[in-house]
Amino acid sequence: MIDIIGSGSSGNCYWLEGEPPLLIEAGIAPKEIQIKKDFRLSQVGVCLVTHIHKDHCKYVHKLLDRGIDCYLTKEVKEDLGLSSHRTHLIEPLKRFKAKGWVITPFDVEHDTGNPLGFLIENNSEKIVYSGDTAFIKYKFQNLTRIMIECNWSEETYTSPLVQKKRLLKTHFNLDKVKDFLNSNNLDKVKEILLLHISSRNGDPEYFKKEIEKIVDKKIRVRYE
Amino acid sequence: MGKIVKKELVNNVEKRVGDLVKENRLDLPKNYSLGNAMNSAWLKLQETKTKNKKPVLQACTKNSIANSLLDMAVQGLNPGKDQGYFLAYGNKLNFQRSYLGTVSVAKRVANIKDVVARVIYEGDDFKYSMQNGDISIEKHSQKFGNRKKENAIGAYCVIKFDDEREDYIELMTLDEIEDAWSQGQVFKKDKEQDYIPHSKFKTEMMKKTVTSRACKKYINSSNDNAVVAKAFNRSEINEAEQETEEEYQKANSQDIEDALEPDSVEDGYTNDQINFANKLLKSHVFDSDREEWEEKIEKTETKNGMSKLIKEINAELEDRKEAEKQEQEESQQEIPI
Repeated sequence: MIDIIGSGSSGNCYWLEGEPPLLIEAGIAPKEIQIKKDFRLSQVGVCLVTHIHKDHCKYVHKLLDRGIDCYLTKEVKEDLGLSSHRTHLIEPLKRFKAKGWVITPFDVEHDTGNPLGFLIENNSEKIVYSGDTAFIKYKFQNLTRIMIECNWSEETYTSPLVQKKRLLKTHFNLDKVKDFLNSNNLDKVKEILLLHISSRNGDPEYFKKEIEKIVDKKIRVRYE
Repeated sequence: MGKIVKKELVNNVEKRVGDLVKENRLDLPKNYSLGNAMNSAWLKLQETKTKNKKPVLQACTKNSIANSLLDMAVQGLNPGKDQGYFLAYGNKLNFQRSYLGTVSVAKRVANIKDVVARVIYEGDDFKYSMQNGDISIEKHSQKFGNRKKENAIGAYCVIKFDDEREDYIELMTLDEIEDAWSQGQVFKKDKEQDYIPHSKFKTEMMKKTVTSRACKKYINSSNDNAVVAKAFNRSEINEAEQETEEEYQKANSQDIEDALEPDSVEDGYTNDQINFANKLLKSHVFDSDREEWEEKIEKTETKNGMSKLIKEINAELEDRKEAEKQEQEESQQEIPI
């Protein structure tokens, strides 16, 4: 259902299978997406972008050129200077329909103008995607999959202490991911994807084990 | 956690500071009396409470109290002079430096004689030049009438040194200052917020911001005092932790469906919803303004908007019933027996 094409500061892009398939974030070059997805990029109907940092929106114009409708905020549009008729402006907490999908953007905590996360639904799935954020304000019902940033943890932090100040306010850490999972009903969740794990301050295997400890055994936990 | 004894704790911290001084890793300022600072810290600690109104000396770990006292002492600060204060979050106590504290640390570690900050107002005659990256102010003259906070367009801070170094000048536009404020949780750019200090005491806050920025440059680049710089930076992180902790209270709380904007595109509401709303309106308490409510129902177009309206009607219904009940009780009391 979900393919991680890229996750982390070097570029983010996630492929959600559906009618038509949907992309979250445009931080990976279309060429690379083509190679990873057997040249199926032309089938994609929708691309959602969360915020103006380049690892999330660098290739928006290229996707637009390929005829993909991109949904993004006014801030992203202005920053990238987009004018294509395929750009659609979205706002937090305003639900919209995009081809076979129903999308609810919500506001998150990151150090840029108007950053978003998404609740993404179609006939069979209800998926939450956190985006880059220190935490999520909202709760969700009947989720089937959770795509959540798990950037760092106290135990695996190795960067100079001064940088922690920013991390604290901008990126999910393991404890807060646990809090999020504990405060939502996970009965229908099949899968949890841990995204955007920091190469310096995170340890994917350790995070996976820690999350597996607190969720039901039938839920699959994975990272890239 | 046992009772925290002042003597034991203070002795401990004093000993650690003494060791640092002995090993030549720390120079305390000549006019700094560790004993005095400890005493005033202790007085402050006794009256400091956690968010849940518990005394920090009971609620916080001994270790964190010792560390916050150490942070204070190493930076050569005294909470009695408003150079910093103690703050608890969870069971961890932090020492947070104030703006006066920042100036004091900078003076000490970088041989700074004086720090002056000034605000630039619209209409001021302000000229500066740059040479090799150094800013020098050629002229700043001001009409007294210009000094209105809504006319402030920027601020600068001049650092004067004890030795023959040229003055250092940090210059910031109002826009840059507001960007710095937006990093915190209180100030939001482009929003009217009259009640927060950033608006109420705008020019004072501008001076603080430009001063802190100028001083930090010298504290973090002074090579002789790694111990101080470390304590200094730790207090920065404490501040960030504190702020995020407060923000984090909001986490995972509101159901997204309740938070949606009412005009969110969605499948229309169901007939069940309308029937339910109309049923609520049948109560006699709506006799006076039923039509207005019915109009509201008619105008609502989304499922979500409708469920919000139902909540509103329900609340109104209960309020009015309650008011009616009270009225009745009061009128009964008035009848003399």
